[in-house]
Order: sequence, then C-alpha cells, then structure tokens
Amino acid sequence: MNRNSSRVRARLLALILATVLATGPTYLAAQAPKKGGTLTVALETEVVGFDAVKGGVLGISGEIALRAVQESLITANQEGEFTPQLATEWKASADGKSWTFKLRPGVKFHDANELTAEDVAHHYNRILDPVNKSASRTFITPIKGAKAIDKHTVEFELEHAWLPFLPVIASTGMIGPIPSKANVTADKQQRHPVGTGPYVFQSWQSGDRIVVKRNPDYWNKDHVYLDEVVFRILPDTQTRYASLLSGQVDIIWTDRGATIHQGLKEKSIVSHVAEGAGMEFTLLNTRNEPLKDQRVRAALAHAYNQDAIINVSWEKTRPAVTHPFGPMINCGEVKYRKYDPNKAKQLLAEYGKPVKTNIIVTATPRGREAGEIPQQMFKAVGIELEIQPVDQVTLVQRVLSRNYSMSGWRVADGLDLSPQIYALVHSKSSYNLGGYSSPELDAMADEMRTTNDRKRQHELLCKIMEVVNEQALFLYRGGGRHYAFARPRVKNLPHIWRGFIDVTSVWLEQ
Amino acid sequence: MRYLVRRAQRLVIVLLAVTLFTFLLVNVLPGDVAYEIAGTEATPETVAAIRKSLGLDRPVLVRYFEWLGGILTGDWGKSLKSSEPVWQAIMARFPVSFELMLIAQTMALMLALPLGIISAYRAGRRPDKVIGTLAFMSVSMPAFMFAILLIFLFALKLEWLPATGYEPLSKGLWANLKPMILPALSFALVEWTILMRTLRAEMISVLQEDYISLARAKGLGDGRILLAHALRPSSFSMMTLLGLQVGRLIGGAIIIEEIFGIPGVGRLLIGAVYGRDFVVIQGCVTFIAIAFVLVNFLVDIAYSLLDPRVRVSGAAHG
Repeated sequence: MNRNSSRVRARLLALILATVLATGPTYLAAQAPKKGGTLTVALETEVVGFDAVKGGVLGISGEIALRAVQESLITANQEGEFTPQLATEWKASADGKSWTFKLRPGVKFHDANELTAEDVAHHYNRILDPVNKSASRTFITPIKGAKAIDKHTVEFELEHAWLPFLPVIASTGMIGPIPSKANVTADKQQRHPVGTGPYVFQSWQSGDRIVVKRNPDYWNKDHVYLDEVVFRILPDTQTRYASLLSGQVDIIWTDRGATIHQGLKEKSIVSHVAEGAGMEFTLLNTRNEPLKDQRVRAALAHAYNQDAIINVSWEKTRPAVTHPFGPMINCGEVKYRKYDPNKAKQLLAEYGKPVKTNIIVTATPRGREAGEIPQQMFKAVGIELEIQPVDQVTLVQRVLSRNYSMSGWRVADGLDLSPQIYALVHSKSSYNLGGYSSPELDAMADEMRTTNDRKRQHELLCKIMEVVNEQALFLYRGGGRHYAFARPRVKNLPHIWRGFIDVTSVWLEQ
Repeated sequence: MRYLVRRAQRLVIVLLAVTLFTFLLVNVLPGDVAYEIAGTEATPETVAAIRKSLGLDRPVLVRYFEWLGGILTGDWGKSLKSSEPVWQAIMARFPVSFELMLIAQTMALMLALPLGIISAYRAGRRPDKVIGTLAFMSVSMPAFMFAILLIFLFALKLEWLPATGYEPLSKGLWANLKPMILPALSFALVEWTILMRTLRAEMISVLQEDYISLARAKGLGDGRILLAHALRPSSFSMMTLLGLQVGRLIGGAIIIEEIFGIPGVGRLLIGAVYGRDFVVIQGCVTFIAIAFVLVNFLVDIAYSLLDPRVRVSGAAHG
C-alpha cells in the first residue's frame, strides 16, 4: 500500500514537473516584453495645447499624450511614494521652505538640446510669473520661484513649508512635465511639444489624432517597447467602446455606467478598475437666500439620497462618499448628513418659510439626472427645485461669476487634494465658490496648508470636512473610481490612478 | 459673364449676412472660450486675464470687422483655444468631409437611379409598391440609427469593416475606403429615398409626354426610351436636391462624423461651438457658405448642360 502510494506520488510529481518544464518556457516567453508595434489609445476630449501658459488646463486626455513626450523631475505612485525620473535625488531644507533637485546628467531633449537646470527653472518661473497669467499658477502659488544653481542642480524657494510640493513636482499636467526651453522660447510648444520622454512628437491633427514615435536616444530606452503610439480623439463613449471591440483602438477609458457594465462582462477585453479620490458633488451657493440659512442647506442634505444617485445616474460604478479623499485618508463619516426625510421636514418647519431654489445642470443625460433626481427627492419634503439646463461653458461661467444657487462641480482626483480643499473653503480664496467662511475654518485651512507633518495635515483635512458636512456645503454625488478597458494584446499597463493611464511602458503581444 | 458677376455679388451679400449673424449669435451666448481654456479649477481672475489676452473684452463689432479685414487679406485667424491656423484646420478636414459626401452621394445615386426608373416604369404595380415601401422604411430612420445598426452588424458581429476611423489616401486606396463605407452608407440609406421619389415623380410625368409616345410608336425599346429619352428631362429636380444635399454634407455631417470618429468639418465646427471658439466658428461658417453657393452655382451650370432650353433662356435674358 505504501509502495503503491509512493509510486502514485512519484508519478504525480513527475507529471507536475513535466507540465512545468513543458509550459514554463512558453509562459516565461509569453511574459518577456516584445519590442515593436503601434498602440492606439482613445482619448475622450480634444487637447487645447501643450504650452503651460497658452494651453490652459491640460485635462486627462492631454496628460496621457504629454506623458509620452515630456517627463517630470520625479514620479509618484498611488501610495504616495516618489521615484526618480529627470531628477536623481532631491532634498528639503530643515524648515521645508527650500528644495534642491539634482538632475540626471546626459539627458537630451528631442530637439538635441541637453536638459539643464535652466530648462527646469525657466518652465516653473514662466508659470509663476503673474504677467503670463498661466491657468496653472493658481495651484502652485506657495512656490516663490526656481533657480539654477549649476548645470544640473535646481533649487525651489517656497513661501512656507508645503506638503503638496512633491506631488505637484511629480504631477503629469501642465506643471510637472519639463519642456525644452528652446522650444518654448521659439513659441512652438503649444502645437509641437518637445521633451525628454520615451516618445517623440510626430504630428497632431486636431480633432483626430496625435502621433508619437519611439525616441531612439531615450535615457532609459531598454524599457520602451512600442514603435509608435497613436492617440485618437473619440469623444463619444459608445464610439470608443465599439472601436475597442472591433480592434481599431487598444485602450479606452470611460465613466459611463452602461459602457462600464458592458465592458466588465465582455470576455474579449481586459478590464482595469482602480479606486481613486476626488468626487462629484453639488455645490450650494451660501451667499443668497434661502441657501444662506444653514437649516435649509441641512434640510437639502437630509432630503438628498446619495445612494439613489449612484444607483441611477452612475449605475453603481462609483462609491458613495462622505469626503473626497478616497482610500488615501480614512476620515470616517465626518458628520455626514444621512438621508433622513423626516429630519429634513423638521428643519424646514424650523425655518418656517417655503423653500424654492434652482440648480444649473449641463444639457446632457447625466446633467438632467443631476437635476431631476434631487428635484423629486426635495419635492418629497416640500422643497421646490427649478432645473436650468445650460451648456458646460455657461455652467462654468455662472459658477465662477457666482450667478447660481446650486450646480454640479467636482474635486479632481489627485495625490494631494489639500490645495483644492483649501481653495474651496478659505475665505480669502477666489475659488471659494460656495461663499461660506468662518474664522474656525480659515484657521484650520491655514494650518493644513503650512504644516510639514503629513499626519497633522490629514487630521485637519478630516476636520475641515466635518465642518463642511455640518454646514451642508456640498451634496455628494459619488467618489472616484476609474475604469479602463484594453485589448488582451496590451501588456504591462500600469495601475491606473486619477483616471490617468501611463502607456509609456506598455508592450504588445504581436 | 454678367451672370457670373451677379452670382458673385450675391455670394458677397450672403457671406456678409451669414458671418455677421453667426458672429452676433455666438456673442449673445453666455460663456466664452476663456472659461474653456481656464478649466473648472480656474479663478475668476485667471479667466478675466485670459479674456483680455484673447481680446474678448473688446466690443463685438470691433472684433467682427477685425476678423473680416483678416479674411479679405487671406488671414483666417488662429483658433483661440489651440492656436491652430483656421485655414489649415479647415483644409485638413475638408478633404475628409468631401470624400464622405462624394461616396455617400454616389451610393445614394446608385440606389436612387435604377430604383427610381423601375418605380416610374412600373408605377402603381408591385415593383413600385415594394420600392415605395422600402423607401418609406428607409426615410423613416435617421442616419445615426443606420450608423448604429451598421456598426453592430458589419463591425462588431461580422467584423468585415472598422467601426471608426479615417485613413488618408496615402495609406492605400482600400485602407482609405474601408472606414468610409459604413458612414457613407448611413447617409446613402436616407438620402436615396428623396432622390428616388423625386426622379420617379418626374419620370412618370415625362413618360406621358408626346415625344415618348412617338418614340414608342417608332418601335424603340423600353430600355432605350427610359435611359436615352426620359431620364435626362426627369433629372432636373433631382439635380437641385443633389446640390442642396451636397452643400449640406460639405458643411459636415456632425452626428455621423461623431459616431464614426471621422475628423471632418462637422466635428471641427461642433467642437468650436461647444468651446465658443468664435474664430474657428466664423471660419467654418464662411467656408461652408462659400461651398454651398459654389455647389449650387455648379448645379445651375449642370442644368444648362442637361437642358438646352435653359441655355437659350439664359442667353435671351442675359
């Protein structure tokens, strides 16, 4: 019996070994990166331009394309760890008001100029110069300026210690990626970006495609596999999805519930899902009656059912949230006002007057839902909500000029959301769109902005959100969760975060 | 010659009216391109600075005449958003829209001509009724619906043709034609019915003319009577319609271009409208107006080729 079982075991081991030997090399060969091929990535929106002054805000589509061409000093992952890119080392002064970066020597721009500290300093100082009116300046005002110490050393001077500094330097929008100073000075950067990245910009047919080709002189060329990347601009979600299924594009991303559910079920494509931060929310303008009254705002918050919005409008593709920080910061419930129509009625009774207000929404299906669903919820407690459909540009204009009562808005996903939160709640901020302020909130926001202690910053962010929820300044419409879909031949696609897809290390199974 | 001068005068008046009206219309819309450039996270100060740098803080008429002056000197301006020269942007897209229009109209004519002739020849009988029913079904569906169905069938299920895209002719004839077939067919399946019904109606009336009876009496075959004697005089209204359709399609088939991801004039225009990029809007509208007038001018010339009476009448009046 023992001998038999030993034989059986030996045979089984032999079989397993044979299987491993037979399939192992194939498996390993399948995983070995292959060079060559063209990757086609579908972008949702047209890019305005790549010049940090003329191009305004880059947006996710522009970031994905620019990342292939230009590089930042450092990069960050979703855990908040920073790794070298154009800078090999960096350090802060003891008071956190000065940062020094050592640049990687011998790195060349695509125009054959060598990367120097002058390029870095010129890029940041150009954004910071108030005369240039760069839309990116708002986000980095704590930086006083940058200067070249020597050819490969650049130093940043800050107004105060500022924890978002490294996330900003590592960002992939207009601020982080360094362009060639010569190209910017020649006024070509807007339509023809020149950087140090793994791919060289080739052409851009507006509204159609941006084409980049492999950089043969890239400093890390062993980790670049594709011959060419084509970024195709396909604004319609269904068009992007059909293009993916029929093989015209290799990667798409979307936030449309129906397409996401189709994609998750489809076996011929690979789904990439990532939890994120940020949120969609309805902004309440507290400057005018009746939303000036905290009881009315609280009544709205209690009459509002975030879960219903997520089920209907997002088709359960986003999480319900109580703050915008996602899994990065565990703030708990932070006095979130739960759905409670009775409480809403009680607060309205205390207010004692009929409540009638309005909401501006985009004239899109999702915009209409953002108005119609709350309209029914508020009606159930006796609040009358008028829906005013407008287009996106008008909505932004009305909110920025404070000509609104309620409007959809968002906190964009990012590694450090504190600058956005500061701007939304501080009384001195021109971005305090809701208009609510208090000395208590200002004090917390000021400390949160200048602290050099990450733990303390997180505590303060949570406390600020407690005040925001208590005062019912925002009505949450779902947090950040990102979806991308790719064809199976796409390999080595890194984890997507902030909705940003880095395709620079992708290779294709031919 | 006088006829040409009169046409050119009309063209100038049409262009002035269209461009001024568009300019004013865009300016009464709330919001402007500065908000689009600045993004949602911008401060009002940044937006104001961008507005000033783009010259949007100046009076509407000053900007209109400045733009008009540029056009007269051949400068179509640059996109306020992307800085791309407008003429270059239109010229990059016009061949795409033109090709789409050309293929769509060819397909529509290939359906409309034979079916229109059969329908007229067999008026009131079974072939006419079958064709009429098909035409009714076809015209009842909007082009975008055909687009979705065609993508589903030919791209996703049968995988014969691509769902989206555009390849220039430099990549090869088939590579260029392949992605154009479904969008062109989406149009053709709607457009052919109008052409066919017009041709049918006119041909039925022509077939009752004395000279057709004479041809029959002389023993000419049906085919020869229909194609050599009845088709040409039956085509005038169809030609007019064709001209109008061509003009419309040159302006860009916005929805179809959007669904199939075709980089044509329509997508350029709609993107500019959403972004309030008035320089691009003006450029596109002017270009479309010129194209529309020119196409209809060519249709007028085609009348005189089809019907000698038009030439005689033109000469007598001209």
